[in-house]
Amino acid sequence: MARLKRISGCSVALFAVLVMATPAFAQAGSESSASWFRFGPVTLSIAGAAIAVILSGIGSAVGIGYAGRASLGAMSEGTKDFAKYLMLTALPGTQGIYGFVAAFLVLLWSGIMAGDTAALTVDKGWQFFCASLPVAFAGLFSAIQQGKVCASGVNMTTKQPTEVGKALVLGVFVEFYAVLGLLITILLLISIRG
Amino acid sequence: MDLSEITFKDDTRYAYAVGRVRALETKLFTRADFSRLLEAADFPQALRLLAELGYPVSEEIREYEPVLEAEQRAALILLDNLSEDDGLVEIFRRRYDYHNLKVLLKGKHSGQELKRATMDLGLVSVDDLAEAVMGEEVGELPETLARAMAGAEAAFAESNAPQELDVAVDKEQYDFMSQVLRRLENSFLQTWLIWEVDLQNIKTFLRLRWLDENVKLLERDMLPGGSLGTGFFREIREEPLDVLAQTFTMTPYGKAVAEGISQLKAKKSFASLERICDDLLIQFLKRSREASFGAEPVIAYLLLKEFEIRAVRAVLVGKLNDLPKEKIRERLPSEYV
Repeated sequence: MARLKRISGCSVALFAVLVMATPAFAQAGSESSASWFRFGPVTLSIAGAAIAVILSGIGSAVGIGYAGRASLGAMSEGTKDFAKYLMLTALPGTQGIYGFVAAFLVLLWSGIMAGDTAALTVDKGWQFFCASLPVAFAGLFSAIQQGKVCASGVNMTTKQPTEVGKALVLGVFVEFYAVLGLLITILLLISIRG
Repeated sequence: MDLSEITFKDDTRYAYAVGRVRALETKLFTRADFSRLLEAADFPQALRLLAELGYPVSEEIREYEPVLEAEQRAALILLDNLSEDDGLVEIFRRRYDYHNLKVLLKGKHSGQELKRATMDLGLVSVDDLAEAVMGEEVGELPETLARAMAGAEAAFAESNAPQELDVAVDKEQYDFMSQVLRRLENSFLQTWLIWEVDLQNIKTFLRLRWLDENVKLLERDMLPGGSLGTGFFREIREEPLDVLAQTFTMTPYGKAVAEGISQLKAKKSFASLERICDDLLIQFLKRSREASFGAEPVIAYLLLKEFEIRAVRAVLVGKLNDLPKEKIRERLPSEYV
């Protein structure tokens, strides 16, 4: 829980830095604002892509860590259900992939990948940034919780190997909210792209 | 502490440990395993069965105690390896130091060689402890053991009663355990300790009440750290046995005490009461299956393994003495028969 609070705190701080650093803010503020501190539309779009990958990636890594450690614990005592444990351990990994897909779309549709950012305004940059947030945060929190559900599923499967299906279904329930996050991110990106 | 007050900490440091313990739990003896052991024709066959069930019995072993000690040692080493909290290793291994201290003190004052009854599973080696006990030099001993030894010697010097040695060491042990568990803020383990102390005190109380011992012994023998204080037992001391059962209805032990008293009256033996109390603790420990992360399943496994080893010892002693299986069965927790 403390770790989640730290991650959330860092994300909010990053968001605040970006707001303060955009040209509109920088100009309204003191004249002495250094030019390197003023983020333009390209930087904002890249920040959006980065945050989508970073947060959902952290979530997946932590979630897989929980389920993986539980699986290794069970297998270290000679339990031979590797295939079942593999499915449960891999499940929290999908959020990282969702974050990657969202980041790829941001980079593609903002024109950064093609090197054509002439039409990118600060507004658009902000829009790309905000569109990345649903998959980033939904991925972060759902992957961690899914890792816990899957670790419990591993423990249940160790005792009742035939019940692995139930453990997987309950794990997938958590996945649903990461999928919703990705869906909204994609819809927002489509609408920004026009 | 009530069961509803137990909260399991989401301590993800124990993710690997819990996974491993869940696998080990599938190897704990079931009713079917104990039933096979009870059916064994004699002691050697029971030992062979024990080997089949995974205990480290080799061909040349004729004694059961080294086998059980090896199994116990394996469970403690597992705790050493899996525990993320030093305090847990300390209290659960320290229990063997207190046990050894009691044995050595009794040996010293009775003039008997009791070292055979010690178990080298604690944090202080039996030799070091024996040296301290014989030389009355507590300099090298951890503070709690030194305190227990000094307290026991003082109590014995006053009364010359060997039971005083046990009582003084037990009191220090439970005091030390509740202090460490309070520091660890683990409600499951704190409640387990409270239940263990309460049940121990209830058994002591009923034994004193049954034997009509005086109230002074009650105050001497009550262990600290439970939810039912000496005052509670002093108040109900004069109640008839039938009424006594009702005075516990507001505690989690109501049903167990009522059943224990009725068995005590019917069989004039404390074996059933012991068994009922063990059942209650085993049921409590099984609640650890609700925890997915945390130290609770690890400790619960260790304690359930200890119950299993104790039950195996009862079966083997029974087989060695050619007791009928019904007699042995009566001594085993209902979980196993």
